[in-house]
Amino acid sequence: MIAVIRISTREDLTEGATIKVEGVRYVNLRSAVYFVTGLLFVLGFMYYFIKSTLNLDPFGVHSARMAQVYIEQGAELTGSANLVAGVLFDFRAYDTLGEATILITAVVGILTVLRLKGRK
Amino acid sequence: MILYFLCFVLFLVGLYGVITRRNVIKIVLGICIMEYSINLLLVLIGYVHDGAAPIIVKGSTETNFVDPLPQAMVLTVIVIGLATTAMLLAIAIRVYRKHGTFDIREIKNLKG
Amino acid sequence: MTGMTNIVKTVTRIIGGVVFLFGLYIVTHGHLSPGGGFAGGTIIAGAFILLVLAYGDNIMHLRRIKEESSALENIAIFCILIMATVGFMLGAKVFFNNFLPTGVAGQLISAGFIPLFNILIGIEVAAALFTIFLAFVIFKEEEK
Repeated sequence: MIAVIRISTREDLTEGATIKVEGVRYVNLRSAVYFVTGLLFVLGFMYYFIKSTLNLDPFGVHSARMAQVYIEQGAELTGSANLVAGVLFDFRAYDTLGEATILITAVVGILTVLRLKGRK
Repeated sequence: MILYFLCFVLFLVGLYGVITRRNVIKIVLGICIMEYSINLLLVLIGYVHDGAAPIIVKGSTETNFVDPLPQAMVLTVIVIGLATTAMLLAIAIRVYRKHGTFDIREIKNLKG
Repeated sequence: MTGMTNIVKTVTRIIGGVVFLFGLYIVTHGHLSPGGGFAGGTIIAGAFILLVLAYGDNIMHLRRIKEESSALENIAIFCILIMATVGFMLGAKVFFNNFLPTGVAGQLISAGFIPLFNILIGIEVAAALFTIFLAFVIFKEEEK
């Protein structure tokens, strides 16, 4: 379905919905096929998403199973008043280390792509 | 549940921008919108009714906090999105220098 | 890269210092109020980018600044690894062990090594964003 939608942007993006052949108005078949395919794609996506969202808890009723220890004993174990900073820098410090690595890799990659011509 | 559905609508808007636009910069913007909608969904899942921000203020006894774990994870995801967008823009500038245009229909030949 | 008019240059000189100080406040009070290393680092990078945009230097000066900024970012990451290894040696054999004493929650000197961690991450994020911006500007100026 994505391939069909992709082809539609190549040549005839500015054609209208109806064309005139010998004085009689017909419906443009290509535009109709693209429109129906797009609609089917969106509806199929929506059906699966709604079916999986109904398994979550309703909005606002959240049983924090994993974060119970963090909320109750976070201030005593780490000593910080900010619970998010305590979780991010003390309980889960490996993830912060990985994120710093991502920043370093991005800078090295950009300095390689945007390299000027070196001298001989 | 309407809020989760609206996050998904934002994801579809970004996907539409990626699929049907010809300019390279508009495709990059569509990718940015998709990442933003996913971050919003992750933070909205951990909301509790009448919950306070997860910061312990001196002199107040409050125990109904919002879940702090998705917020910590989303901070990491935002930085990943920044790195991805910066790399995409650098490659787009390189492509513009070589072919002279931002239109993806004319970037077809694999020049040597 | 040409700079802007005189009004913009004068106002940017005043505003740049205020923005830098505000970013420093968000970084160092990361364990007391919302913020932390990443948000504060972005604000500090914004102060430097504002100065480069308003004044506009020639390309040789910007190249030297880019090398210095890239070196500063790598030094900050190396210091984070040193801190993690020191935590590995003392006490329990766990990476990132919290080895400084945790005081009373709510004071400025508390929470182990979280303030140090915040400052190092703030320096690293600010230097990374500034280096990316300078790489774009130098590439644009070269092809003229």
